[in-house]
Amino acid sequence: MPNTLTNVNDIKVAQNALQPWMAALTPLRAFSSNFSPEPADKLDTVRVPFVGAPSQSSDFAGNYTLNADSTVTVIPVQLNRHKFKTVHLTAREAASTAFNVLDTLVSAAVKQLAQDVLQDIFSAITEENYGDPVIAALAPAAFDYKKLLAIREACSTVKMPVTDRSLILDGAYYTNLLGDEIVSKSFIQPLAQPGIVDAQIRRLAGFDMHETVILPDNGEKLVGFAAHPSGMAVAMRYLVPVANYDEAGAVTDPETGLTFGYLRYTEIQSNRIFVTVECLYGFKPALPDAIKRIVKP
Amino acid sequence: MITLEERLAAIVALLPAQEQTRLNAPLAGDESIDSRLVESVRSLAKAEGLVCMTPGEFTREAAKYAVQRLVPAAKSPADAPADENSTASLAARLAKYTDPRAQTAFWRGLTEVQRATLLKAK
Repeated sequence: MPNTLTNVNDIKVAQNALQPWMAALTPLRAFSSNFSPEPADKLDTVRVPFVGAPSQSSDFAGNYTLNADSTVTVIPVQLNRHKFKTVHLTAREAASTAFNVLDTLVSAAVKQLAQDVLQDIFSAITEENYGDPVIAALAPAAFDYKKLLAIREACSTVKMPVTDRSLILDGAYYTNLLGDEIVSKSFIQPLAQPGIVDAQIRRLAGFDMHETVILPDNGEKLVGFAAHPSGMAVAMRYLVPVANYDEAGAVTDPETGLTFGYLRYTEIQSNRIFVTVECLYGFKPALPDAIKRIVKP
Repeated sequence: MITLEERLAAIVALLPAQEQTRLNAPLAGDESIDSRLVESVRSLAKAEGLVCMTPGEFTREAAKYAVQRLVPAAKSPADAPADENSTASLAARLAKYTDPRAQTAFWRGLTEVQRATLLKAK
């Protein structure tokens, strides 16, 4: 059974919503992932390739196959999370405005759905899963480049691989970093533009930087974390609807595989059009030393 | 300390003969030793095969590049197969995708005009 949309208007609405979906889920790059529009059911298990440090090299002793890594490490992740968001408008609203209301509604719904998914995944960044904070608790005003270097040092101490490190940071801490003497003056043209005009720091001290305003404190005053993909495995698939809908299909980004489901249906009694966007996903904490928490006092 | 004149002389000495003649000529009214030095460094870079443009040259190159980029969009009806942009053809191509990845890739590859054509046909 094909899992694509067929109505051009729905395709347009869904494709327009794909951009905010991908933008909001950018911090997921910090984790190991297996995202795809392939159909799956709730509680199915997806094998997420695990990006960790390779084992040691061997001295050549006549055969290249000696001591080969036997398999690609994978983490089984159960698709046990299913979030959705529904928007609606009356047929009269749809007909009486030139402005494409559905487009706006669905884009906003998808963005909210992405934030809720992300927040849910961040809820696993806890002391129980990842241990003590990487540095002593600190207020936003105290977070500067030197503190970032201290985090980097702590990551290296636990042998977190130097490549693919990310730093997800609460907006207030990220903002203070933007005003840091070293950071603000280190921008050079044309890199100055993202930092000064768009408040973007792409990479700093070897970390891919991600600002977030939706990080849950998890009851532990969490304000950010340094991460390597081996710290968490995340999976995402398309949940095929059982019922018949006017339109139903997976909407996906071919490069990342980030996917949401799109359903449109009509309630004849109230003459309303509904669109539901949904996400089937799961996540599982992996190596404790691959995520280092930052907390506030 | 090396003076600007000495620096200029050192750089001009490295240039091809015709450039040396031009840059050894007396300064014009709107020239200074600074601007002559900059010009000589630019000439040296060009002589070495580097791209080193004046603001005017850069603007002309940018305009040329922009025109080149615009050409494919402007030539569509004549060069494209006859019915490539027709509503029926676009709709048929869109309908054949049963993989969401391919559908997204196809949609992203459409121009605004092609998308409008498809939507109008609905």
